[in-house]
Amino acid sequence: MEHDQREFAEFYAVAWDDCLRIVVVSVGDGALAEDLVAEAFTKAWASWRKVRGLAEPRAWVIRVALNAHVSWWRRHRREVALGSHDATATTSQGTGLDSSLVAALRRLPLRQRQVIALRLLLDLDTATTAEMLGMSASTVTTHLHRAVAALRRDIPARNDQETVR
Amino acid sequence: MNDDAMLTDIRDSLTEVRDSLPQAHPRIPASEIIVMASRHRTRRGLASAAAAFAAIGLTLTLALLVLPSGGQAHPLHVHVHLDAWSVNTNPNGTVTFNLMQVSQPNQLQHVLAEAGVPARVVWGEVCLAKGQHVLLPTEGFVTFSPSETWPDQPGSFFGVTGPGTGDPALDWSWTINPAKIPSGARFLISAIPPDSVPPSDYQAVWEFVPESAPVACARFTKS
Repeated sequence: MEHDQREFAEFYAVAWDDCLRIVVVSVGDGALAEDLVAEAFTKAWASWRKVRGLAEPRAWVIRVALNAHVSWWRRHRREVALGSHDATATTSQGTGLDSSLVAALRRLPLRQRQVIALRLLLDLDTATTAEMLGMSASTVTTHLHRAVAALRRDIPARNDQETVR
Repeated sequence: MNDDAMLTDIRDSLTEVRDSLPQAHPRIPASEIIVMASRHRTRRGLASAAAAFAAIGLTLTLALLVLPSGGQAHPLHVHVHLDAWSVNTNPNGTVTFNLMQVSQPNQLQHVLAEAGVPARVVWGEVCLAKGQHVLLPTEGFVTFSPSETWPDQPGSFFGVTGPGTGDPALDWSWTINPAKIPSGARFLISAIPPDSVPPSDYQAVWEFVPESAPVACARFTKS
């Protein structure tokens, strides 16, 4: 037990910053991301015997945090209008994030966001991403292409607007 | 734009956003995460037990209530090895801390805290506690190498200057007994990349000072 606690504490210390950065980018809200990541690490400890043996335990934490974000959003969607929430999330959290890119990322379906988080932000290969998300490699590739195409559609639009001004 | 170029473009944009965020360290210590998980588990266990064994009475529930341990007031056993630094709890409870570079300062600070060693770690500036008699002694609970160059003085302070001055490269090692660290004191460890410091300025400094002492940090600090 003590060995497990030591091992988990080391993982927690080293992996926290990586996981938090990726979840912040994915949800666009620093404080919320911190809560989601803390909760995900709590679950990681509860399942540590399984998590420790994974190819990439950080990916497990990120996936759980993003799943929890969907649950959080479902609980709050009735109370918070989408437009005002987006405005709040991109201006008041003090994260300095590129708001249009983060907003575009948030509009993606969960599975596409998870693939983006693991493949591009955590820099995992396709096979490991597939293993961590419980899908085939070809499904990862499909999600990635669709997500990139959707994000790409938003980025030139933003750049064009800035050029016109 | 072809698919590969598009993927590269998006990857670059996203990683730029990711890397622009300030470095963070967890505000909740690992020991608290472990305790929180135990409470979750206990609640789940109690709910299941209540559903399955309601007719049996309180016996099983009482047994489950005494299972989880309380909060961990004691330092964790820590074993973290990075290229830049390592922190290890020894079997006798002392902590061996080696420092080659002050990279990932927030993580280093957090790992030291987990090991029971309070510290503030700064990378990119040299920090000194203000006040003439602010340095605290470490005799009896800290051994430090390179010991032959550790000045014999009432308070604990050690610094090296920039490259070319004869000072050795940053390769410090402490053995610390956390149980004997006085309450309200901490290590203040700071450094600047060696290639960006003038030879006569401090490149790295550590001192042992009160937590409440005001601290001044600067990019260039004359030795």
